[in-house]
Amino acid sequence: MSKRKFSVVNQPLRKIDAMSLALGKPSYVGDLKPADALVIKMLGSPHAHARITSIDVSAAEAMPGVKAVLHHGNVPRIVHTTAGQGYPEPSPYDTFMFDNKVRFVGDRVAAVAAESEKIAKAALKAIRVEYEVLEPVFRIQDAMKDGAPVIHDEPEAKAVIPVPYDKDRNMAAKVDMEIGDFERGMAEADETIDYPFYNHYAQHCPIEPHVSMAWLDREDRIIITTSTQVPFHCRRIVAQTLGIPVQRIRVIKPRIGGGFGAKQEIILEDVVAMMALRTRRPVYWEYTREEEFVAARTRHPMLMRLRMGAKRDGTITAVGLDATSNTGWNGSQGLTVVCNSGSKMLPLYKCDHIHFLGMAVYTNLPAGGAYRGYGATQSAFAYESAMDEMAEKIGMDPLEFRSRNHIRSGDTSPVFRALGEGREGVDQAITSCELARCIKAGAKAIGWRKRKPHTEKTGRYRRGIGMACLMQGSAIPEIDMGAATLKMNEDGSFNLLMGATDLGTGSDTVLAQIAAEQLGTRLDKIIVYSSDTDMTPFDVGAYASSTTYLSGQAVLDVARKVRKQILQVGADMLDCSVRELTIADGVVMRKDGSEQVTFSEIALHSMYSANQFQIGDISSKIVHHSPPPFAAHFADVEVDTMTGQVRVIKYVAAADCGTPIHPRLAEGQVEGAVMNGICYALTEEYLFNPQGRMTNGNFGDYKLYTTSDLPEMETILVPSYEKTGPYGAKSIAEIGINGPLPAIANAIYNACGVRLRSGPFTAEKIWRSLQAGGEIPFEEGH
Amino acid sequence: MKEITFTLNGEVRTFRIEPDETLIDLLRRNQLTGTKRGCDTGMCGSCAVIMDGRAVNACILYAFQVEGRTIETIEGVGDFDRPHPLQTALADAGAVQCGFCTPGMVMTAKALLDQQPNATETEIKKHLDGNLCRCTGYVKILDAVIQCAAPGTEEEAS
Amino acid sequence: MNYIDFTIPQTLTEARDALKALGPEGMPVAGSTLHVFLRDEAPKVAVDLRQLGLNRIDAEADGFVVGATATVTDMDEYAAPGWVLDRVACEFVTQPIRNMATIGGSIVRVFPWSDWPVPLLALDAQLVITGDDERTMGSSEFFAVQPFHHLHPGDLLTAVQVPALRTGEGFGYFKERRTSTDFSRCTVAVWLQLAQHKIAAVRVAIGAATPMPRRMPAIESALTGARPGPDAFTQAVQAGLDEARWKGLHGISDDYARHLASVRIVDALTAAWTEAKGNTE
Ligand SMILES: Cc1cc2nc3c(=O)[nH]c(=O)nc-3n(C[C@H](O)[C@H](O)[C@H](O)COP(=O)(O)OP(=O)(O)OC[C@H]3O[C@@H](n4cnc5c(N)ncnc54)[C@H](O)[C@@H]3O)c2cc1C
Ligand code: FES
Ligand code: FES
Repeated sequence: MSKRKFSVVNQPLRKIDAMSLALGKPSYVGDLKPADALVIKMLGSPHAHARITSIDVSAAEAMPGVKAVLHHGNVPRIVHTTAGQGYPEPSPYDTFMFDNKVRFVGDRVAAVAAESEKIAKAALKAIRVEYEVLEPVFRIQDAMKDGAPVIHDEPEAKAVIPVPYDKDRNMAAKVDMEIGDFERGMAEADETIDYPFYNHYAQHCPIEPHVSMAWLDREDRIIITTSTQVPFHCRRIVAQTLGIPVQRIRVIKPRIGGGFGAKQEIILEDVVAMMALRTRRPVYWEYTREEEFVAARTRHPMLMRLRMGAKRDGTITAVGLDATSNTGWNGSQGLTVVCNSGSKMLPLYKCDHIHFLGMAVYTNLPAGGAYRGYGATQSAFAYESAMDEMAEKIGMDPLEFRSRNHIRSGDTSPVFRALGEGREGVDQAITSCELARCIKAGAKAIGWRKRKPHTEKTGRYRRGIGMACLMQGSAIPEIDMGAATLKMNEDGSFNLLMGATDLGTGSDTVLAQIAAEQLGTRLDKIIVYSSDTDMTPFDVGAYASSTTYLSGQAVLDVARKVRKQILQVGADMLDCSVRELTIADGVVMRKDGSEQVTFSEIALHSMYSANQFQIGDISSKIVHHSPPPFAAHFADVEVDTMTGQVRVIKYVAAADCGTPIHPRLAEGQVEGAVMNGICYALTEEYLFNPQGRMTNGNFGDYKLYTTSDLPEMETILVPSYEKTGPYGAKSIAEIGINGPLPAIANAIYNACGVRLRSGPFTAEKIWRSLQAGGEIPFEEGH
Repeated sequence: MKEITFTLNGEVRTFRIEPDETLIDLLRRNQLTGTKRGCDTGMCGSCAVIMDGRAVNACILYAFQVEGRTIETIEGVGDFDRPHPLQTALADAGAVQCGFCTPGMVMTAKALLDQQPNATETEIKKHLDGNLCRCTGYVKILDAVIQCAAPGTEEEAS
Repeated sequence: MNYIDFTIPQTLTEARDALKALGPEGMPVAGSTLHVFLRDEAPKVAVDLRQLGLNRIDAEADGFVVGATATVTDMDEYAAPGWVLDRVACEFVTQPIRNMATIGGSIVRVFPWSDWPVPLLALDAQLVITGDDERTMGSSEFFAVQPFHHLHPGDLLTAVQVPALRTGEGFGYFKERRTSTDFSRCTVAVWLQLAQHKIAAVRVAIGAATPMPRRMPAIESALTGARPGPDAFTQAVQAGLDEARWKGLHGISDDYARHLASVRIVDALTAAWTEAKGNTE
């Protein structure tokens, strides 16, 4: 529960950039493109796995209007990771700007910069490439076989932190952890289950595809304006990839048209920077939608095996989760995503004996990356489906089974320490958890009490209700750092400069609210600037559900310091002690109300009158906890048993995110994530031809829901107060996407007795399962 | 290069165009960047503009096809001092997250409400079905548009 | 499309003359929404059809005449007794595409997933082609091959004649898809006429689940003269399915395409029958 009354925080104010965006003001990278910018186009590999034996770009270079052609023969060969993570990165170094080998259909072969898109495209056609075609590998199982083709056979590929890495066996990452004695836990159980699950490929589909541009300023520095979630990591990795000092690069992030993790990756920036250097002209590169699907990043598909043991009284005696991800052609975020599959779900239910085995395997398919939910989406499907299956085995209501076992305030879990991000994690006790109330509120909203087993249902159209419980984290403890600068202007307004990266979530607004609340002024007095590596202090960027919790603490801290300075100047001006003063709505006053000075008078005084100094400060914070948000999701579906078509009728998401700093934006995070999760569960999928080429990389064939597909959606925020977070807040952005896959799978089972272990839940799959009496074996998709 | 003439945001304008140039390219190279490109294949609606009162996708409409017609883009719809009621409602409802889909949403919703000021929820859902939004799950967008279509808001709007 | 030039004729004669002069270089353009699927075609000269005044929908004695450049939205919003194409129009793609796409453009080049040929086959629409003289062609003949093969340079499809639904008749339409704006996996349209509680005449058309849209004559003849009802429908459909080749689109199997068709044809028959029953005097 909220413990305090707020005036700016926890208020549904207008998001600070909402109006300019609704007016269509130039805001995004593409809107800021200089008229004389060269256009970049990339030649993509037609083969999934091949060596480039020769490349002839002379005809392309000779074409009028072509200004530069880049390929593996004329750029530095520096191994790096494209994952925008802290340094040293937990992702392996296995990528080059261009390589003499291509590893998926669409891999970089050569880039052209030309006066127009038309010329650039024509130039691509003029490039002659010869390939030695190699045997490709698409499936996890095949990539792990003895004698499988080796995808990263180059000597440079390596892990840069001490973790298992075996490129000769296509193994990009591995983690193995046991708590207690898993086999003993299984032996103690009355009932055990052992099931496979498969999570399929999907893409973030930000409506703005990846886009970057670069030019040289008059000092010959490279200015990169890019749609990124990680401007500082971007600067570091581009410097590394080009072999130039960080000092020579400035990265500017304007407004971002959605990211969801896809833009936590350095995908275009190395090439635009290199092209700017080569051509000394502004250069611009925007992915087509098709390139976005294939060459940007995806959700890591995962094969899972879930084993669980439980007693008939509902005690869970053992949980074992084996998760193997298909990390595609590079190992970006491979280790950490799979770690999260364990660390963000296994603490959810109390259990003494836990085993977790995580692996990431290279294949010749598109690369996985960070995607909202980050591994927890995948394991939530397996774990929460298994919870229902176990509940049925021991004859207990699935809601009751979860309620008995879930973690509560004051509890801890050994998983927190055992599993971190590529290294040991951090011990923590849960200090805020309103999951029980989430379950209660959600169950009421969906009508759980009316729920009947599928065996009692008849007729062509059958309704069913299913649920899932979820947790996530808030930032990466002891690793992530955020910082903020705050300075006061003479009219009592403030500049808040942050490295924190608003990618559309509204974090600029949320962080400004925190500053305004602490300063004692209105939201519209805060001028936010984020993020620009020349102008704003460092921040890891927008990922791991960190911005409100982590960057919020930096903002709160800097606002505290500035508030002190303001009070001190006020005390000087009013000739009293700070203790006699208070602040409200931009005015410093004596507590007895007798005298006051405005923020503007204070700023003017400190700038021009006496003891002049700039009121302002900088703070940086790391966090020592990662308090999980919790959620309970419920789906009400209808299955047409003749066609197998399933329709979501109602979806309820009840979430505990601590204090919602901005309730409407918090709801918006849940609604957007849930909708994305529903599409992932029901329609989104990659189709590949036998050669590994994606055949449905467009919005006509890869289906997202629109307004006319919308089920009834109900979002319930169940506030708690997270005392380690700014004003009681923890995260909300990711968790919502994890629910639909298991909640809908469980609802389908409840409707018609079909158990689905692989997504998406297509009509054909359900129809076939019905024909087969409830279940069909699945194939690892590709 | 040939010339075409059409009414753009209330002004008769003449442009030199390439025969295979799309309307979105024409607009964006003339600094009207509020019309966004999300797919370039008619499948996302971020490029929606209004042609003769109807929402159309500027990425699959050839520039020559607007000869003699009336085109409205987001730049003609409102400004800070005089936003369109839809823009105000979307901003206040929390319906603008990344905002990349928003201009297209505004244009499609405006085309509907100009014609049917009291459009029902079902009609609104149908008319917005060509505008993808990945951030909001549409809930708050619909809230905002439904609110603008509520009987009685017409007078305030003008 | 790669256009090297364009012209915007104001009359049908001008348009036809331009196309005749251009020969294979000329390309009629209506809504232009199909051009996304034609990106690899050789360079052409665009001839805009939308200023020719061919966009009217008129009610005539026994049906409707839909001008070739009437948009899907025009058909969606049109209302008159016996008009059923609004039911097809409202399920077509998205609002902006409905606003742009024309009926002519929707049927001259047919893809497996094309919506419009299916209801036009079931309704036995007539297609009006204006060449040096005007010809009318039945929908079965028109859709028997890729329709643009019927058109010589300078020929244009100018109108579609659609019969009105009359007393004792019903129309059923199903478009099976994952989301409302998806391409169809199975499109079914049924037109059915009752007389003395029996099926006097019936036309069943299917698309998307078959390589090209088509009628299902075996099912039609099995049902003609029969007493309508769930069993009769199911039997006729099961017996008649094999006359078509089934082809799954967008990741579905051929088997499932066939199964979907079997379910949805029965559904469409049931819907048409229900309407026909309610549609008696
Ligand atoms: C995102 C998207 C999704 C789509 N989904 C579907 C779908 O689910 N189902 C479906 O059926 N269609 C779909 N389409 C395809 C398309 O919208 C239709 O085929 C459309 O109806 C074409 O009409 P148009 O007026 O735009 O034709 P145009 O694109 O202008 O022309 C199409 C073709 O017909 C010719 N032509 C046009 N009018 C005439 C005439 N009067 N006489 C002679 N030739 C003529 C043109 O030369 C051209 O070859 C989709 C399109 C898009 C962009
Ligand atoms: S950019 Fe035009 S519809 Fe997507
Ligand atoms: S607000 Fe981001 S796509 Fe709609």
